[in-house]
Amino acid sequence: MQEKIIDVKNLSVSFDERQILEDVSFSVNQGEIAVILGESGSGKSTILKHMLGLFPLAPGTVTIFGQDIAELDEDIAMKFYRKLGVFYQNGALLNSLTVAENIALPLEQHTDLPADIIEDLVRTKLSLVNLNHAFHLYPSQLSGGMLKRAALARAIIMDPPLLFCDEPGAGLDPVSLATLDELILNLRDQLGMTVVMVTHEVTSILRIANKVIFVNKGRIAFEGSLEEAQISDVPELRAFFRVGTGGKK
Amino acid sequence: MLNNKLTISNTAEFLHDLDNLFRKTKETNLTIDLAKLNEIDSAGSLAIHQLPEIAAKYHISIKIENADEKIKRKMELFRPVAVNFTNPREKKEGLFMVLGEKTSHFFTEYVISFLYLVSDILYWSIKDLFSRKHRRKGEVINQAISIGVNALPIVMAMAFIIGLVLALQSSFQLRNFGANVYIVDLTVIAMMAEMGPLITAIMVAGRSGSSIAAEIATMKVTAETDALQTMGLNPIRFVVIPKIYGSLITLPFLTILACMAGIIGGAVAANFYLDITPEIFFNRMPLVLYQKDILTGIFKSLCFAFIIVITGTFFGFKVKEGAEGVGKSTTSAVVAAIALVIIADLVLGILFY
Ligand SMILES: Nc1ncnc2c1ncn2[C@@H]1O[C@H](COP(=O)(O)OP(=O)(O)OP(=O)(O)O)[C@@H](O)[C@H]1O
Ligand SMILES: [Mg+2]
Repeated sequence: MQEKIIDVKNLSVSFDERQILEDVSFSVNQGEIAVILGESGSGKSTILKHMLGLFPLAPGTVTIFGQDIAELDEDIAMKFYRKLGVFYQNGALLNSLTVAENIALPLEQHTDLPADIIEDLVRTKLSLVNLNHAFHLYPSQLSGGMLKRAALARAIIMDPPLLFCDEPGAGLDPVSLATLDELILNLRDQLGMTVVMVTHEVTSILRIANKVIFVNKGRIAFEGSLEEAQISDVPELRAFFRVGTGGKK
Repeated sequence: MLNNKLTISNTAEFLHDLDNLFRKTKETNLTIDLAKLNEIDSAGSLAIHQLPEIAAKYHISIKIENADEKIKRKMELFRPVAVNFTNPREKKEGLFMVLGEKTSHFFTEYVISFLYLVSDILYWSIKDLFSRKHRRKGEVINQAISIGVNALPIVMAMAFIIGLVLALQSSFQLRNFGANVYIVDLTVIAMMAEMGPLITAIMVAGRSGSSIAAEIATMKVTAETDALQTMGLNPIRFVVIPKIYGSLITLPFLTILACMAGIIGGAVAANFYLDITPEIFFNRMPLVLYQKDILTGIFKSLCFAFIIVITGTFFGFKVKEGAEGVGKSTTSAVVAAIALVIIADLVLGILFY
């Protein structure tokens, strides 16, 4: 029996009286690559932000590594967030810092490593995402795809045991996408990272996912393994796989 | 009756003509013949879909006929979408209810969260005083330069002009009483205790209050603050505290320099309009310059520094999504910062009188 490291229970979110999520519950085990699927605007990013404790007041409980995220105070939060890497949908690199400074930031803040080791680490992670040439550039000087890769490098700089990604593959060319999938698989296999990922790319889901969580109309319409998902009888999910692999709607 | 084209470029004209026609006609049954129409776009088809409704207003019923296949297909594609969602916020209520709701909204939305932010910032700015973690190296210096040092030329120029004008305006009155030499007292006291700190604060609020709000609002909109938080960095400590330190360090100096520029401005006016030479002016200055005024000025400038940074931060964090939101919070931040500075000046003025 694998260890459950994320447990989301009865999450509900509404913005300005508009209910976005209703009674969302699911869990993710250690070492899994869990994919959150759902149509655009269905609330996937909202679920992710919620799991990260960015809306502390909404009803529902999220437990990650046994820590209830509603009970993070300043000191616990520091230790807690060191264990997470987060990739935001639009990068969210700090615009006032260069790519290298952005990526080094968590290291500088959370460790006492000497500057040259930090620089080496940054270069290593940048080369993992194929972005060495962007070392001294500012985020505003990068293309959309480069920005995504830089953001991914920042997310994995601390070798976090748990990685959250919000559509890391959107807008990448097929080759970069395959490289990205390979990287994520490697991180899981080599470092035992658990990954929670929002993505629409059916090809990459088929390549890497162990677990599929399907969000529809603010609820979890399906939760299970990739194999189960492919034969599921939830019509919207079937449509996702059929259209995504080139079939007809 | 229709020519061969109904597109976005002539739809308005078409509807207008039709409106005129409906108004003038005595008939109650009209037929619209689309036979000649061979080009239509989305605006055109929606206009045709709307015709029966428009005609009904004039108690006319119309029939639309003879559209060819191509036109029909387009009209099928661009048909009005049934709207059946109600905007939850548009409730009709009495004036007083709206006012009451606005007030209580203002209270929770602004006053309480402002006080919360103030306490948060005060707490961290004391706690982080002796720790260098939680902010980037050199950030305080950067902020001191961008908030304080870079404002120096403009602040001194403004203070000089205001000192000059102040002395100029008073010189006519003083001359009437033959009290020429009191121009020194007037300029020095006014600049030191009042105008110097105020001009400095207003200029800095305009320059940095807005840029602080814009910076934080942009960070919020692009999820940079979220990213900081999930990297275990508190955005207040990482972004705001260096600005607090930077402005607290520089504003007192800026204020003193502004006072000096203003006093020099006053001395120039005194020299030309009241025949008080700089020598007389600066000899008398120590007699009227009390330590208390200087300390008051410095204390005020420290308070103003806090107010400017906190107001900028507050409106930055209040931003609603989108680039437009950034502009709005920036404007609100400047207006609020200047207003709060002036109110604080009044309060402090009464306290230290
Ligand atoms: N800050 C906010 N204020 C108001 N509404 C919001 C806010 N953030 C998200 N929403 C709403 O919540 C819903 C879900 O948004 P979310 O970003 O979670 O969608 P998503 O599933 O990630 O979509 P996408 O695949 O396009 O990224 C949307 O309808 C959006 O309008
Ligand atoms: Mg999203």
